[in-house]
Amino acid sequence: MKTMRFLMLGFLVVLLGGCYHSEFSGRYKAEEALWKANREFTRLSIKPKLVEPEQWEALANTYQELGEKYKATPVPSGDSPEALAAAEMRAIAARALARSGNLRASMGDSTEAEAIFRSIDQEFADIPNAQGTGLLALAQLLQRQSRTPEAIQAYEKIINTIEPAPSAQGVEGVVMFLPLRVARMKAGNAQNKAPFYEDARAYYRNQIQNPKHAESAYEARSRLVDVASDLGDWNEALDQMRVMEREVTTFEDPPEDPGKIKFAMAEATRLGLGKIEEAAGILEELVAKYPESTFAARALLSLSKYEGSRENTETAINYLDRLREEYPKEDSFLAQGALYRARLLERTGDWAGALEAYRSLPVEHPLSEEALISHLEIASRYDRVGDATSRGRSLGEAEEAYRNFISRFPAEGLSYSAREKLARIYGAQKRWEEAISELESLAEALRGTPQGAAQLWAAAQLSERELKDTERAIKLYETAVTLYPNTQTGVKSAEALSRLKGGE
Amino acid sequence: MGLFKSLSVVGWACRNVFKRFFKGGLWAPFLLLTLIQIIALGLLLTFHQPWSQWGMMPLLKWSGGEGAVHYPYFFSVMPVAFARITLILGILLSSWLIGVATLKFAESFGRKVTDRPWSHAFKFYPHLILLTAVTSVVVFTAFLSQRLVPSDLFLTNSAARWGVRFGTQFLAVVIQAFFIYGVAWIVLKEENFMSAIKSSFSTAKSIFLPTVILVGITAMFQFPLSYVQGRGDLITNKFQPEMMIGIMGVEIFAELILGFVLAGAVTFLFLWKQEGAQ
Repeated sequence: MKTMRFLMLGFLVVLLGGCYHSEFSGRYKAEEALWKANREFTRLSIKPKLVEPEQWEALANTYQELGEKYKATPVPSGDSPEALAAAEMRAIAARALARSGNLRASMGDSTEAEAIFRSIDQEFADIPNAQGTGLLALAQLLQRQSRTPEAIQAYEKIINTIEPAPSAQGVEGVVMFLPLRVARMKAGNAQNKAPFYEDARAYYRNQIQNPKHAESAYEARSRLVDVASDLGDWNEALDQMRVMEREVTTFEDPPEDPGKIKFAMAEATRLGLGKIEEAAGILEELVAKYPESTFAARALLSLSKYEGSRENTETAINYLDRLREEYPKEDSFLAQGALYRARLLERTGDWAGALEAYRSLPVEHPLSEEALISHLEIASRYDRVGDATSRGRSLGEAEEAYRNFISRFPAEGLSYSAREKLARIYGAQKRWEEAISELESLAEALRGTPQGAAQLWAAAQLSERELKDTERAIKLYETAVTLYPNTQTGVKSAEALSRLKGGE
Repeated sequence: MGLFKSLSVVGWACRNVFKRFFKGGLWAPFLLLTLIQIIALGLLLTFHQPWSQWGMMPLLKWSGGEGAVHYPYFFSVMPVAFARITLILGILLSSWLIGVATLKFAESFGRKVTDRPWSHAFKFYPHLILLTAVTSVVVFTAFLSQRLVPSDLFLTNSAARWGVRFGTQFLAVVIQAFFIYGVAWIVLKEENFMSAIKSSFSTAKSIFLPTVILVGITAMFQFPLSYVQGRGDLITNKFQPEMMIGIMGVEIFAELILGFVLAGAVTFLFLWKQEGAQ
């Protein structure tokens, strides 16, 4: 009896053991480790400036250890669930290693990052998507380092290895962009770009004829539009866009707003072919056919500007009225429309109407760039007509309006614009010290951005030309050269410095 | 019986149960069931390990598809899988254990039926299983009635959503109230399961409001936990996925306490109605 029980227990253990597949356990643990590392990455990314370099280093090491641990997982042959689980473990390893490489690249260790990406390319050749992840990261790194031929090689390997799936996450989702990117990199500043785009054209035409996914053909056609635009072949671009407009509505979940395609057609016709009247016709079609599209509001604004440019003020204002009535929620376009209305009225001599329109902007669209611009427009008008008293009063009102805006919405992105305009108001009132202080403070707040560079340059210029404070100007130019060495601001500042110092 | 009288009857029943809160012998069936639930939860959490992969992976895939065996989606599906385990445990095991608990409570309330409650209850095991199975099916059908509400209304209208939730919960409480005396009729009066159901309906009808209040109160305590478990995606994305383990642990503990109180109070009411309990 005891022997029977023992044998039955043994049989049960063998049976259960036979049902056990370590691949599922390994995959789960790998997923857990990757998820937790990604969670930590998200947490640190919320305020990256507050994160110590050691924390990023530790996270990069965590990703790398995870990748090293699972990259050598043996994958059984066939399509069994165990084989798929093992392959997924290796894919997780590749993703972790790619993350590690990206972190190291962002920390400035591009040598180590490149080594990691190249190892992914070599060690995950059996899992194309995993290999592609590493290749994509490598290509992007090489491109940032201006190692164009190597970057092109990496991109082309991805194109030849991975089948595009536009709606997928990861490398499959970006493959469709790559032939165009490669063509642009190869063409560079060449006069005749067409030969460099032949491979991309052929790739996209093949995708249109033999798509593996429903969206691939559509996406490929969209890229052909980009190719044609790059080459200035506007008729080809328009032909493709007409097909896209027909095709996009056949999708159950359209990948794009048909209004957007129609708007692009109008822009191509206007800017590319120079056929402005025909472009206006396309915009009219857009409004009629796709009234629910956001681009219909944009089209009405564009039509208004078109009519305004032809001195058809009444028609232009009618379009703006339609915009206001039919699209009351499109605040951005309504604000632009309101500003354009004011300018139209001013141009036609109706200053009372224009003034009312300018003054209503901050009331009706308080959080808009146009509302901020309206104060300057009023002051400029009085400046143009030589009305010094009104100009002085309007500058004072503008200053008060900007100060109120900045104190009410300090964290709002537009507050930087308000501060820049406040500096211009100071300049218009010849309050140079205040203008320069405001620009310096703004440059500091926007440090590291092109806008910050522009403010620093403006402050230096004012110091040199208006305050005649050479010492202060030199300091500002030196700061610009230090912070923005390889930019136009940096170059101009260096020239200004050598001029000022050479003159001393 | 009016509302206030019903409330005082329920209060009286619960008081008599609380008086017996520290009698260890009464806890035995509930603790055994809790232990088995904890083991089941442990097996579920270690679904990918050798000892549980064979059973838990198919259960998880059945409950939530292929994604259920991946981290962290597993934690969203875990309550569903555990509910299925609990359903099976309920039918196979807790049907018998509640029978044991009923006999022990009855003895505690002065109505001794047997010296061996465990084996006595086991004698009626097939009837107890059938009773539990039928009750589970009817309650499940009540919850399925949610599907009669158009899904877009359910998703977009919070009043409709909460109305449906409370409505089906109330329906489930009423159904359980009618079936709840079945165990007592089987183990104390030794009826077969069909007669026990009829008798249970009759008993419940005679003390309808106290029974509904009693079942409703325990359901009310459990509702927040089951609601939170249903928001597994939110917890996984916003907090830690492992929080679900804590939530389910709290639910198991809550079931232990509420099960004790409910079994005791139902037995008390049954005896009071049938024989005038002390």
